[in-house]
Amino acid sequence: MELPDLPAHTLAYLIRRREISAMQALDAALERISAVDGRPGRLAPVDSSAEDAEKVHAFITLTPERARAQAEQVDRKISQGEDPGPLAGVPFTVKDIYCVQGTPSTAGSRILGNFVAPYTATPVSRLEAAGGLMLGKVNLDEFTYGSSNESSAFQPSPRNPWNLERVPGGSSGGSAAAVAAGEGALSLGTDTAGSIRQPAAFCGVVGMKPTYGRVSRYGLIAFGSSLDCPGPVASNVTDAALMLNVIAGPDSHDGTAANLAVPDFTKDLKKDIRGLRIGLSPDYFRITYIDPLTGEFDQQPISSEIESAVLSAAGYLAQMGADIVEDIPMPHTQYGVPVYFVISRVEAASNLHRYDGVKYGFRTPDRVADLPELYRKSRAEGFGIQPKLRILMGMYVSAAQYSKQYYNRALGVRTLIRNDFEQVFDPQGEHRLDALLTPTTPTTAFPMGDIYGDSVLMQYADQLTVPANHAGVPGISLPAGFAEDGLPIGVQLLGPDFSEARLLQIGRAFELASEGEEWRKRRPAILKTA
Amino acid sequence: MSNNQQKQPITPDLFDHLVTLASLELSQEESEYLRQQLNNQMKAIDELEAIPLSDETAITTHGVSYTPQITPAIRDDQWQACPNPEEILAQAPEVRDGYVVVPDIPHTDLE
Repeated sequence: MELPDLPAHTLAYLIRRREISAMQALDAALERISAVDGRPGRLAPVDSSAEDAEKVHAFITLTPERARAQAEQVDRKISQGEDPGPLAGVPFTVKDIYCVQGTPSTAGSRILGNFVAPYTATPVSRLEAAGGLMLGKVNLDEFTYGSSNESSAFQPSPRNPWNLERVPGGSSGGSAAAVAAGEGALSLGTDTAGSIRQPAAFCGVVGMKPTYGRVSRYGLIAFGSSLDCPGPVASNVTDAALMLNVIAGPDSHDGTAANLAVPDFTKDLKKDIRGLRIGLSPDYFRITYIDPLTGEFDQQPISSEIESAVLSAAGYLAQMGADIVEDIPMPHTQYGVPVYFVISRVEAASNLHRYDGVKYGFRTPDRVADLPELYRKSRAEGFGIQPKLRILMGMYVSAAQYSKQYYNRALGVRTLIRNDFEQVFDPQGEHRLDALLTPTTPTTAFPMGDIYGDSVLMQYADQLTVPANHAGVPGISLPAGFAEDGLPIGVQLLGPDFSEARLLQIGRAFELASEGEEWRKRRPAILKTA
Repeated sequence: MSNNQQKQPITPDLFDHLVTLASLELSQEESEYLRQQLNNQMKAIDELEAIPLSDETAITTHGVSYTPQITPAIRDDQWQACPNPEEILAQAPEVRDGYVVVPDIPHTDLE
């Protein structure tokens, strides 16, 4: 196995034992990037070449010098007998929605295309303090508004390493694609409606949305402030646990970072799961969507291949001693997307008012008569179509005359969604679940260009992930096999507030139980040709 | 199930008003696309109207409840010097003598 394909925890172990140096790990990662990634995303219009279609394009900005300085420091610490940190020498990438001092921090938008952050986000500082090597910033949907990465102003947008004609998912698509292709063992993503879990499922990697408040949002360019969760993308459960150990915890810079001690998330990974109660809900095996022709709501079962993968995962967990409890009612699951259409838009519109062409970011080069015209032109030229759509919807549903009908109602339905989770996880309740096991997505990765442009259909890709964001509870997506089209399938575990350790424990048990499966040995298409 | 495919709550006039409030300028093509998408999204949002919601249902602004035990203490309100004001000013599109330069700010006399 080549160095870039080693799990982060193995790499850190070998580096601490001086079997390899941090510098060697870095060089191997940079070599992998140069073999598979192709040209980074750029603002200038691009004519897609045949070569572009054969590369991953995860990156917007590479920071090899920053990583080299970190690697030198790690190697020096090791040679002097000092503790180099739990992520010593592990190359990682950062979704370009985080501020990192001295780096372009673009949110995938023209309006921040020239912005160089003057400070560093807390989770990134913690990863570097733990000995991690930041390779660069990876692409995303503009301001995270999408589920495919196609909306980024920085093109070419990332492609799925398993099939380069498919999207990697989104919005943390650059993160998931980078980890799948071995371009950095870990990536820091964000999840507002499924933006870590959905691309993780599409790219065959592990992605965790921690409980809201578990990880500081300081330095994260805000989208939906009551929903946004920073979290790990990794190739396996142990690495996700190791990364969460580093990034979690209180932060005096974020008043919503929970004041709660961080357990060692790796401690229980070997503990058996005998007697744990894991639920299956019929409400997660169907999707509700709007028929684009009639405007009528329709319900459909999810794909039978994905359903089989979930049931097979349940079978493995049962073999490991878990109690599988069927027919768990989660009746408000189907309202997750409509509620999200309201809440996230109001929060997005509010957060995007700060971009005005005055203090930082893009300013129109045109001559303007006055300040309001400067605002209008800078915002019109700086924002892409997806931010504009969210701003307008947010303005509408929060307007004084409509807010009771829409915004307050959505916040009320959010309570019902939260109640679904509270009832099934209640230790004194009827179901007493430790976790729910569900599909992560209704489909596998869709072809590039297939859905982009239809904002309603695109949003429904998040139907099975968004309820956890409304409820604030943690979730993890785990690779669970492949569909007949050769694309990865993800299954999701959801748990009560701050139960990340338990979800990781169950996830690891599933990995161990299924480790002999043929699909565990498959490699992404890009690595067969690189 | 809603049966409102003909209903377009966001009329062209209302749409133009929202565009003004949002400080945006849109091409004809963008306007048509965005208004259509907004009305499509409203079909999904209208589904919420059918959900029985009692007056006693509290609203949820954050999923996780912030109990006193996990709510961080608010920092003291103390003035601290910014360590790198020049880096922050360097981000502004136009600066003169430490001030951010903007075009004319129209003044309106209040009645």
